Amino acid sequence: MSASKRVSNLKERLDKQERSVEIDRALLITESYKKNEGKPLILRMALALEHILKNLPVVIDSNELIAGRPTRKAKAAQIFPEVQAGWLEGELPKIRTRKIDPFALSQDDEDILRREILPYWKGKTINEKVFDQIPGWVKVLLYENPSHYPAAGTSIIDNFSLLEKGIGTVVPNYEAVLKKGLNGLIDEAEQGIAHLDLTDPESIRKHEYLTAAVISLRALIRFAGRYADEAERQAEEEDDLKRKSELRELGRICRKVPAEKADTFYEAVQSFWFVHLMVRIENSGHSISPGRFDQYMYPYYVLEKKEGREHRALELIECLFIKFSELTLFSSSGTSVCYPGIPQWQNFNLGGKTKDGKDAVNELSYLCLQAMEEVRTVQPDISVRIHPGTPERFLREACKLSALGTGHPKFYNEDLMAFSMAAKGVSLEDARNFSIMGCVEPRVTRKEGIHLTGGFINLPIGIEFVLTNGRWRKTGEQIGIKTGDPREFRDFQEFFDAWKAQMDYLVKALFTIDAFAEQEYVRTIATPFISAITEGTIAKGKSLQEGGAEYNFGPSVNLIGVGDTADSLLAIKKLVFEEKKYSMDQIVAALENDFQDNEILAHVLASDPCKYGNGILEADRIAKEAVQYVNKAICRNKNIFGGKAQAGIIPVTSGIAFGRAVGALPNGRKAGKPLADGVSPVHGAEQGGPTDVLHSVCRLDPVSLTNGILFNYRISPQAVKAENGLSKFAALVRSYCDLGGWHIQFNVVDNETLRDAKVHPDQYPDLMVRVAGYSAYFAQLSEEVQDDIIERYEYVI
Amino acid sequence: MGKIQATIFNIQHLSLQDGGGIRTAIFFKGCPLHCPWCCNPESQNPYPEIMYYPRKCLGCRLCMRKGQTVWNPRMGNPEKCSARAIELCGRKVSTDYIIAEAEKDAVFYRRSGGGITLTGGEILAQADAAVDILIKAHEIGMNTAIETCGAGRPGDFRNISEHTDQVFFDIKTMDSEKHKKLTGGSLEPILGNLKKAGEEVKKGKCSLTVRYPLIPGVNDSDTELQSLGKWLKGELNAFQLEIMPYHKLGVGKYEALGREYQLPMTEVPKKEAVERALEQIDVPGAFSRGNNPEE
Repeated sequence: MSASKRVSNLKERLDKQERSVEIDRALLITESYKKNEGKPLILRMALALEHILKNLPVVIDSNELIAGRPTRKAKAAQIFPEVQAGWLEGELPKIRTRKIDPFALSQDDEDILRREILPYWKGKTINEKVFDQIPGWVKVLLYENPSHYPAAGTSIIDNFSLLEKGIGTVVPNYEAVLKKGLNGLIDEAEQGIAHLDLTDPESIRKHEYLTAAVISLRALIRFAGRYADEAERQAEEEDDLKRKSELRELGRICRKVPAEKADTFYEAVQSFWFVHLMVRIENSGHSISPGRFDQYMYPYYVLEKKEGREHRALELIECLFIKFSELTLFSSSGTSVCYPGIPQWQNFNLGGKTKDGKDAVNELSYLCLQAMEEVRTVQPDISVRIHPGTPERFLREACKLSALGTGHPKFYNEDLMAFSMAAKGVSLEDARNFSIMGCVEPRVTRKEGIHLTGGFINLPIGIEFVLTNGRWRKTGEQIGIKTGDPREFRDFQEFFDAWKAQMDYLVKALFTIDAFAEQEYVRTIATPFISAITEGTIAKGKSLQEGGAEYNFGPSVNLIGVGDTADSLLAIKKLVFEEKKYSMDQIVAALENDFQDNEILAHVLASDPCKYGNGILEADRIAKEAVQYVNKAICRNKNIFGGKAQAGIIPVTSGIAFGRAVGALPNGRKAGKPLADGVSPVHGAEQGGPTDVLHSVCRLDPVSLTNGILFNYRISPQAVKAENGLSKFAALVRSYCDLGGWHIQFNVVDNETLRDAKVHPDQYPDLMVRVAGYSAYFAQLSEEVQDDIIERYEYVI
Repeated sequence: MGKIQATIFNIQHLSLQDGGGIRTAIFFKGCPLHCPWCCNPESQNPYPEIMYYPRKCLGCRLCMRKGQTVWNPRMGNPEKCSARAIELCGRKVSTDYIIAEAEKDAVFYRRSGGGITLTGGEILAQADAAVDILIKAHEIGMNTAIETCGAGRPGDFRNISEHTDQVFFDIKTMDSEKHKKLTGGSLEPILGNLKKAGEEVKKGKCSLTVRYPLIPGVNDSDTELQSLGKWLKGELNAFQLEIMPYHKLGVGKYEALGREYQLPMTEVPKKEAVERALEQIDVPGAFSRGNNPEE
């Protein structure tokens, strides 16, 4: 199957488009903010949205079926000076030439940014204010150069990537708009205003919020109206009759939705898109996720099907996937190192269970998989939610998409995630109807607030601090706490306790930053639109920044370097204290100069077989104890609304940046090298079989890491190519869920990888090649055989 | 019971091609045949041996044993090798241990209809251990499969096949003189065991897949393929035939063992040659999965 000509053309155009920065939004918000100084924050933001949406250029590209973009060009990023101004100026000189993720920016626009926009915002952004306020002992842990702003992060603890981008990480309540239309919500807000007792001082803030809600909802209706105008204008000028009627239909739809409820699939898709767009214009953050698309869109699909228009539904979904891929964000060089490729994390959920516990897969779920198979865009991130009652056909279709090497979908354990939601205090019905946001994070559908902040915590740096008594090798400065001279420790427990103490200190530092950051957020940022569409906020008269949502979890903290930490602890436990092969003195000395005088020791330490990720109970137990210790330390904290903090292991590619902070480790890892990916074993430590690692990952007790854990698993395309290969693939996914896995995504390796593995065998120690009855690690094969495999013909059976 | 031991050289978890579903493959060490194309040469000798990968060696000489004066990694202590350039291939383990290892994967069997696969080497060479494992596996409801070259005593084969759900049976050639010359073993007892497997199939006790390694210039002549097809159709009722095209993946292992590879000039068969072989054999449902790297 392949996409329609229209979709192929749109895709081709998108692929050719380069990334750029546009400044319309920045100019408009600055104008509006200057004009409305002194007004309450939330009203000011609503008026800014009104001003932005009145003036933002309106563009409908040729052949488009879905209208709306936050920028003139596709793959362009608007600037959000209210969060980015602090660091943006420093970024401008290298913006076009930086190695990772450069952006085009016209000289004129750059001048305007420097002259008219940035000076106004300088000193007003959250990260600047946080920098100014946090105490010195925290500053040295967060910033590499704490004396002046903007400072680079240390990657010891971190939340710069969150502070500099702004919030996000949310599943908007699209459903409310589809069902009620914005006019329905405006009615509710206006009635709310009418019923306020304005003699009560408590009512005044409610009055502010509800007024702001009405302004921002109306602003979007007007914006859609401008698209209707544009569509009609283009229809007028269009010679091609077919396109003319398409544009007229598009005009009609934009005139109707999102103001009114949607009555057809096309109207629902367009309404959905306006809401998504609006959140992206209001909010600078990443991970603004569509959530359970196949659920809230299904009633409209049924109508489309009744009319016999399944095919058009498919084309609309494909056009929508292209629209998702047009969106981008601008991030700093520092963040781009952690997250290259400007990921958007627009998590698009399919399958799972309904709120009353039935299987939720429907025809639309299949259609969305088919759309991704045909269009193969990077965005949105397709996610399938698997439970014992998931139809085998659906799971197989998902596996088939994965086997194509598209990177889609990710697989999630529905019941485990719902259980974890319920355990942290979500009602059974809401727990079942969760949405997956961003990478692997479950959120309460329709009812959860935006997490204001979060952060990262580097676990292996704690090992370094124990060995150096709190000194950071990279700078020589004393920034950790003094846990004593490790050479005087009498047993392993003393070492482990010292590590835990270092972790407690880092957790405390991170939550100190988060507390300051949350205060600044609610003083600096308001989101009237997404507040208004979140269930319950209008009735309460409270925006999300006032805790108006029913559920307010967070901050969510990410643990980095699980494998390296566990293996280092094991090396100390076994080789130093139990087997006494090396003294602590020897270890400390070797690590201090990065194994320079003792290369063999690095190999010996790295090759000790007792490592996390190989299904060895002893090793996995240490990993779990370390992870759970920090998890509990994190979960004891609360956010500004009283909600519970949570932890997860979702590093994406940040193991690289965090690795640069950490010196040599007792597991034989050299200074500055990347840390192990997520919950995967350390590269080169994988000695067990492919099922062992699955056992190890599940022994970390994923269900208790309520913000989720991410697991990458690599298999070759040939393993899953045949029909019965797919059955086994599907069985593997189900078995992983049975074991208590949270999430798994497959890397289906192709020949290019094999070629690269041939040149860099050390980077692919776990790449297995197989024919029946025979197996070998690719890196161990002779060159001739490697070539043989790469060039081998393929059977289609 | 419980004290029976087997010499094995590998336990492979998540095996996808050695029987139905996701399987755990147990590689027995020791084989009465010595086929020159064997891709698992480390499976041939019944005793543990050292494999040495010079490309991975750091030259640290930590592997030298007490009393050794000249450094020779092939005589070295693999436990001291941090680069894993020296590996000891082969170890004696109890059948209980093997069952315990396989049980770790039970969660994968349940979803896929998988189970344990005994392979090698040749399991008939350690028949007591094989039977013990198969019985224990069946006691806990585990699906069992064997991969065999058929060279062994008929009594042993009968005992094994009684507790096996899927039999994969290798036939190298139908020419008994050539068989003796190439593999060192006689063809006739092998065919006897194959017929026995056929009877078990008839009783509905197991399934049977005959596997034929297709080696260019060795066993790929039309007449040979035709006679194989005819014999199989004449002697067996229900079976599947799989052609396994020759591949060279094992070459590096010969080097590691310090042995010479016997078929250096043989080319890997092309797709057309495999298709042609399938035609010549003319067995309904015969198939080949090719010789792609897998997993």
